[in-house]
Amino acid sequence: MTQMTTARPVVAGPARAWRTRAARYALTGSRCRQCHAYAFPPARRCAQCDGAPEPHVFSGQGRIVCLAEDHSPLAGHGGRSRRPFAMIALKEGPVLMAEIVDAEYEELSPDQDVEMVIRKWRPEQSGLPLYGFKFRVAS
Amino acid sequence: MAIEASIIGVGMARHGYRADQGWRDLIFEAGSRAIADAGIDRAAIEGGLVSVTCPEAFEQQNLGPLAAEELGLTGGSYAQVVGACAGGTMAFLHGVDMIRSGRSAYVIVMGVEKMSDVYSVSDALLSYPDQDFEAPAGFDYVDTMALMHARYMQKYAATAEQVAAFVRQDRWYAARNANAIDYRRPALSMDDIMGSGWASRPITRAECARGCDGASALVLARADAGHRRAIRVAGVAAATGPNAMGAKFGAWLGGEDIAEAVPTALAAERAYRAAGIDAADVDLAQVHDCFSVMGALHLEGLGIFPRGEAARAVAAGETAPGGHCPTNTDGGRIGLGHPTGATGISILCETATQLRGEAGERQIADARIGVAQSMGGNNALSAVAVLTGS
Amino acid sequence: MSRPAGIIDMCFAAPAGRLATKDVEAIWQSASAARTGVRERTVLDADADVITLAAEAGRGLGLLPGTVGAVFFGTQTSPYLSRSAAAILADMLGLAPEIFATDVQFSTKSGTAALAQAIAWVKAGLSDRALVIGADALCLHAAPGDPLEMTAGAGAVCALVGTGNVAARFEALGSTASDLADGFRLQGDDYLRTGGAGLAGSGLGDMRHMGGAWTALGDRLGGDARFDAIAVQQPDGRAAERVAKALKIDPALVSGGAVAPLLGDLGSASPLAALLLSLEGRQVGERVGLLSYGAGAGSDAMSFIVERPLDAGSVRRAIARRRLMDYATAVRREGRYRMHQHPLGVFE
Repeated sequence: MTQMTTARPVVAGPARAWRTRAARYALTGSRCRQCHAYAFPPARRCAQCDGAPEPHVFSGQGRIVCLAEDHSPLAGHGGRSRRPFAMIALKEGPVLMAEIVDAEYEELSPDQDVEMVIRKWRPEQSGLPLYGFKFRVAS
Repeated sequence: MAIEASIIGVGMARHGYRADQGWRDLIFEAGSRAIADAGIDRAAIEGGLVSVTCPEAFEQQNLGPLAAEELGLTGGSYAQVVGACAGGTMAFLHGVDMIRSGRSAYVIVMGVEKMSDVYSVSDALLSYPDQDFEAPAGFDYVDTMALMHARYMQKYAATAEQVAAFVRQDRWYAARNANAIDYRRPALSMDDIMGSGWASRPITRAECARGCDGASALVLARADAGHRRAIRVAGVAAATGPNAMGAKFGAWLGGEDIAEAVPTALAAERAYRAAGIDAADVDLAQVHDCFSVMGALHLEGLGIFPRGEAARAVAAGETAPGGHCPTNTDGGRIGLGHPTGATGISILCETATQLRGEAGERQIADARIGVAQSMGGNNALSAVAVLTGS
Repeated sequence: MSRPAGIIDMCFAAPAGRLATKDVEAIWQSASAARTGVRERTVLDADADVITLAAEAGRGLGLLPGTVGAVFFGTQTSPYLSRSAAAILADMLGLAPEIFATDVQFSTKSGTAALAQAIAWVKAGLSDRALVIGADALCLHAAPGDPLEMTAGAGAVCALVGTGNVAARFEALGSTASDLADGFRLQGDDYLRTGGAGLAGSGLGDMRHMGGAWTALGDRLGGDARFDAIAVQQPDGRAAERVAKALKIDPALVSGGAVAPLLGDLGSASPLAALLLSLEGRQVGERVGLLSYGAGAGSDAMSFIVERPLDAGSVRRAIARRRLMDYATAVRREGRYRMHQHPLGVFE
C-alpha cells in the first residue's frame, strides 16, 4: 500500500534526496586524511585542521547520550503513536540524532549500547520514500 | 562622531489565530501603527526590511516592496529577510546599520507570519532544521528541543517542574498583554502544565510556543533626530553555530553541547560590549522561549543566570516582576504567541514599550536597560539587542 | 564440468511486532485460527518493507567480500512497480555500482528462484560470489477478514552464494511450473486472492507441483538419495507436515525448519529460513533438501551436501525480539488505512 505523504500537498517534485544516500544507507561519514578526525555527516573540509576528508563507513555501533519521545508524529511517521529518539554517540566519536526502533521509551536509558538498522524515513517530494539509519538496542 | 540609531515608533498586530486577516492586513496594521507612533510623515521613510519564515503559507515572496506598497512607502529600498525565528531581529540589525551607515535617516523594519494558513506549524517550519538527516527522519523543532530539554535536565540536575515554571511566568505576563494569545486567561498551575500531555517528551503541550498569525513593526531613526520617547539602540549583534543537533557536540571548547545556547552567549558578549554594559546591568529581558527549556538556555546564554541555574531561578520567581530580571514581559512565545517571522521584532516592541514606561499593568518598575534575544534554527543563529531608555 | 558451488552463509531478519492469530479471529469471528497452526504472525513496522528487512539480513552477514558480483532479490511484495529492490539493496550494502542486480518474482518461491539463478550464475563463472534475497511482506497484501490475514507475516533471508568455502554444496535442482490460478494479485489491487477454496484444497497447485519438483530432483540424484533434513515452504504451521504426508517423506525430516508457528507465513523467505535452520548443527556430508512452492504455480526442489554447519542464531534472535501488539496497533503499524497527508498529532 503506497501512500503519498509529503510535507505539503504539492505537485510531485523532483527526486533529489538520492544524493545523500551513502550517509543514510551505511552511515558513510568522513575521516580527515591529515588529523584522522571523524565526521558524520561527512565533512567537506575538516573542522579540526582544515584538512581534506575522505569517506569513511562508520561501524553503526553507538551509545545513547540522552533520550526523548515523540508524541506528535509528522506526516509520514504516523505508524507509531509514540517513538523514542536519542542523541547517539557513535563508537568513532561523532554524535547524531536518530529514532530508536523495536523498543519503547521506558525500556531505554542513557549509556545504553545501540546499533544501526536501516528503515524508512518520510518520503521526499517526489513521493519516493527515503531509507535511512535508525537504531535499536545492540544485540 | 558615529551615528547612533533609535527606535521612534512601535506597532503590533495582535498575535493569535486571525483567520479573517491575510498577511497584507496584518503587516498594514502593524506598520501603520508604528508609523503613527513615530509621528513622522511616511514619506520620510527611505527603506526597510520585512522578516518572514513561511511565505509559502500565502504563496508570496519578495515581501519588501509589497509591504512598502501596502503602506504607501514606494520608492525606497526594501527587501525580505529570512533568518528563521531570529529573522525579525536580523532585519532590525540590518535596519540599524542602514541608519548608522548614514544611508538612511528613517527606516522601517517589519515582521509578519500567517501560521493559520499552514497545515501544521511543525511541518511548515521543517525547512529550518537540518534537511538532509534530521527533518526527513521525522524530527521537527519540538523533537530537537525535547532532546535539549532532556540533556539540560541530565547535565544540570534540573527538574521537569523547574523547567516548566517558565510557562507559568509567561502566562502571568501574557494575561496582562492585550496583544497576547493568552490575554485575560487564568493563571496556570503546575498540574495544568505537567498534565497537558506530551508533545515530545519531556516537553508537554503547554510548554510549546504557539505558532500563530501576527505582525510587528519598528520605525528607526538617527538618535540625534530629537524624537520624544525615543529608545536608544545601545548594541545589537548576532552569532551563529552549527544547526544540526549532532554537530553541536564537540563544536565548542567549554564542554557545551545541546544544553547550552552558545551563539546567544557570543552575540550577547558583543552586544553588551557595544553597549558598555554587562549582564548584571540588565533590568529586563526577552528571550526565545519557543519551548520552555529554551528560555532557560537563552537566559544562561545572556549571562543573566549562571550556566545550569536559570530553570531553578525562574521557578524561584527571579523572572517575575520584582525578581532579579523580569523576563518575557509580553508573555513570550508561549503566552504572547509565536508568529515566527514577526517574533524577532515583537520582542523589541515589548522592550521599547517597557523602557518607555507604557506597558500598563505589566510594567516593570525602573526599567532602563532591556535586552531582547531571538534564536533561528536549533541555536544556529542568535541575535541580541540592548536597548536603553532615557 | 561446471565449478562446485553452494551457500557460504545465511542470515535471517523479521519484524519484532507480533499479532496473535486468535486476536484476528476474534475481530472477524472466523473460527480457523487453530487450523492454521500459527500462533502469532509478524507485524511489519510502518517504517519497514522487504528492502529494509533484506538490508537487515544482509548487514547481518558482516562485511561482504568484494567478489560479490550479483544480487538476486526474490520477492513478490516489492514496494515498487519499476524501481529495483535489488539496486537499492546493493547500494545499502555497499555493493553498488559495479554489480549485476535484478529482482526475481515468482509468488512465494521468488527466494528459491533467486537462489537457483545465483547458483547458476556463480557456476557459470560470471562472478565468484552472488547475494540472494528471499523476502516478503505478505501481511500488507492480506485482505481484512481474509484467512490470509491471520497467517501473513513478513521476513527476509539473505544468502551469500559462491564457489569456494561453501557450507552447503549445491547438488541438484528439480523444478515445475504451469499456469494454474490458485493464487494471484491483480494490477491495482492491494490484496492477494486465491482461485477459490476448492482449487486451493485440491492439491492441484501445491501438492502436484511440489511432488513433481521433488520427483524430478530425486531422478537427478538417482533412486536411492537419502535426506537428513528437508526445508519446506510454510504458508502456515501445518503445511510442512501435509507436504511430508503427501510426498511420503518422514515428518521428522521437515520439523526442524519450522518458522511459521511463531512468525507466520514469511512468503519467499519461508523455505530459505527453514533451510538455514536445517543447516544448523548438521554433520559434514549430510544431505539437506529444499522444497518451495509459489502459487500460480511452481515449485523448486534442491539438494545440498553439508560441508560446514551454519549458525541459525539470526533466526532465534529474530524470534526472541518479540513485541506482541493488539489488532488495532497492528493495523496502524501496517498502514492499512487510507489516510490524510498531514500529521496525525500536532503540538501547537
